[in-house]
Amino acid sequence: MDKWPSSNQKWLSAWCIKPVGGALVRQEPEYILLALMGSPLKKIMLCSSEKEIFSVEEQVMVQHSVIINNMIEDGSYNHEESKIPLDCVDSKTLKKVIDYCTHHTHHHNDNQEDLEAWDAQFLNVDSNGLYDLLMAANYLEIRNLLDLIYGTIKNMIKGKKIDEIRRIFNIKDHGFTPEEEEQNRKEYPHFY
Amino acid sequence: MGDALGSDLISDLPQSIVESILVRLPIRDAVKTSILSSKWRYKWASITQLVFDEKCVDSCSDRDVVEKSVVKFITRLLFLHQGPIHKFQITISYLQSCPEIDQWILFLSRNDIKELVLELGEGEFFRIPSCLFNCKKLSRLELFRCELDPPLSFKGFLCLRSLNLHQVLISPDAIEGLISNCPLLESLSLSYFDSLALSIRAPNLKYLYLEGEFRDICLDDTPLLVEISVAMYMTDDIAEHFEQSASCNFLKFLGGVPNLERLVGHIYFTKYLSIGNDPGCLPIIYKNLEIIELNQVSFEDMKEILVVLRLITSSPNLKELQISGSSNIPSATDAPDLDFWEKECSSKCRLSHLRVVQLTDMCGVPHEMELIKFLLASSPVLETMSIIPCVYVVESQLKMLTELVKFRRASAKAEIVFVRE
Repeated sequence: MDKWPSSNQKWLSAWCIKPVGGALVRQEPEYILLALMGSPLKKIMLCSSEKEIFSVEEQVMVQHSVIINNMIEDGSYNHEESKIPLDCVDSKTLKKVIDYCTHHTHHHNDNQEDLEAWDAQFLNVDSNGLYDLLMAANYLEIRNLLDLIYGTIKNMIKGKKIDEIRRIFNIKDHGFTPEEEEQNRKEYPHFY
Repeated sequence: MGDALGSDLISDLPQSIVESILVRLPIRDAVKTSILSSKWRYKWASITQLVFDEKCVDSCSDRDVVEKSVVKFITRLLFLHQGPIHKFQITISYLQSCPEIDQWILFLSRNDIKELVLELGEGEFFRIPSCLFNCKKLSRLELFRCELDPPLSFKGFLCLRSLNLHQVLISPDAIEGLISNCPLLESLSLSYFDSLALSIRAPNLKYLYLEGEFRDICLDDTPLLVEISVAMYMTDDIAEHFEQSASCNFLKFLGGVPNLERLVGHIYFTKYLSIGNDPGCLPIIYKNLEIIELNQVSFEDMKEILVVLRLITSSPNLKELQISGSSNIPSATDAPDLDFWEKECSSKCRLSHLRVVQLTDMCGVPHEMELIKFLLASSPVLETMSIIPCVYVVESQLKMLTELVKFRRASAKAEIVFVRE
């Protein structure tokens, strides 16, 4: 909540929508930031490439994804009817991304060790899953998830021997000519 | 993690993502990826940050061999590199000045270098080549043990925000010129200059860090300064020079920094400020100054105490105060002028935001006790006062405690913590 973008005030003054007696009624422009912060369960709809719809707290996505934050700020998202189409992200990955953002919003006061343990468990996926998460985080511009994944991939390379990295990355054909590969092994034996 | 049926997706990631990953690796691991596969051959070659440290080549017992190996590694790497290089950092203690370094700097000057850090080994100072002064996009420069000689035609680094010179041979005119010709300079750090007399004109400067034997420092045009930290050493001839000086150092140094938020002084800084005529009641109020830390204050020198008092009473929003004594065994105590305290400290003085006070190396001399008495009586929201007595004066600790207990406290919450080893 302390990361509430102040530009939401502009949006709110244009589109004030308050539930009145069960129905959604458009109000005069007024600052209802406090009212909105009092009802953080305002939801938005995200639509995966498989046309599956996920409902998620707006505050959660706005805090983490620069892209979604921008869409909501410039008013291109209408709460009443539209959903945000994310054609590059499949359902399985989108669900994981939403999990990540939701956990980090609700648990941001947890101690560092607990958060790191949760992150490590979260990234315990196969290489396809990791790739999909990376692409999704890159597209949605989720900085902390990106940093986390970069860190994980970096650890697959750092301090490891070439043969081991090839195994981890599933590089079956290194693409060098036999002479080149032999030359490399002769020149840098300790890297293999 | 590797699964037998999976495919190699990592090698086809967009270059921007690959670079974000490679830049997080030590340079050696990043370059190693060139032998991973033919697709990876040149992925490392366009990273924009190159950081070299002691671990970038294999170590071995022969320093000469390692040094040659590092020089070869860096030269080859630069030769194979493609595209701009924004950050180049060398922190290698066994690398001495050598002609190849000139060539590297020339190469960097042609490749949009923005951040340059050069920390070479002990030995001959490296003479920075003139091509450095052509690096128009330089925003951060850190040099250790170098010789810097800007050409006469040099008009300044127009993008420089951060300058750190540590044991650098440069003429005083050149350094003044360098500082005043970098209009965006925000952070300046000068360490280990001998007998430097300097006038600093930097309208955007926010952070100033000085360490060394300074003869004379004048902050001429630094209205935006927010943080100052000074460790001032003194030699006999500097001390002599000071005896003769009449100008008020306090005003010359702190007269033009109304936005100061944090002030830290070490060794002879307070003495430096005390030299010259007493400014009397200060013309400026430091309304943002929240943290004052003054170390090695001599409580036997009335002028130094006056400096401390003037600073405290001119900072209405002071929150944290740390003072350490000069930890010299007090000399024969002449009757101290305690009337001074009654004159200087009006009972109306209120330090309405002071919460934390730490006093270290206290010997229990009368002026120290008067300061503590003054602070306790004037700080209505004080939470903690920690007093750490000097290790040499075990006998007077009891005497100090007895006096402390008598002092009036303006803050009901104030906790006095007397730390005994």
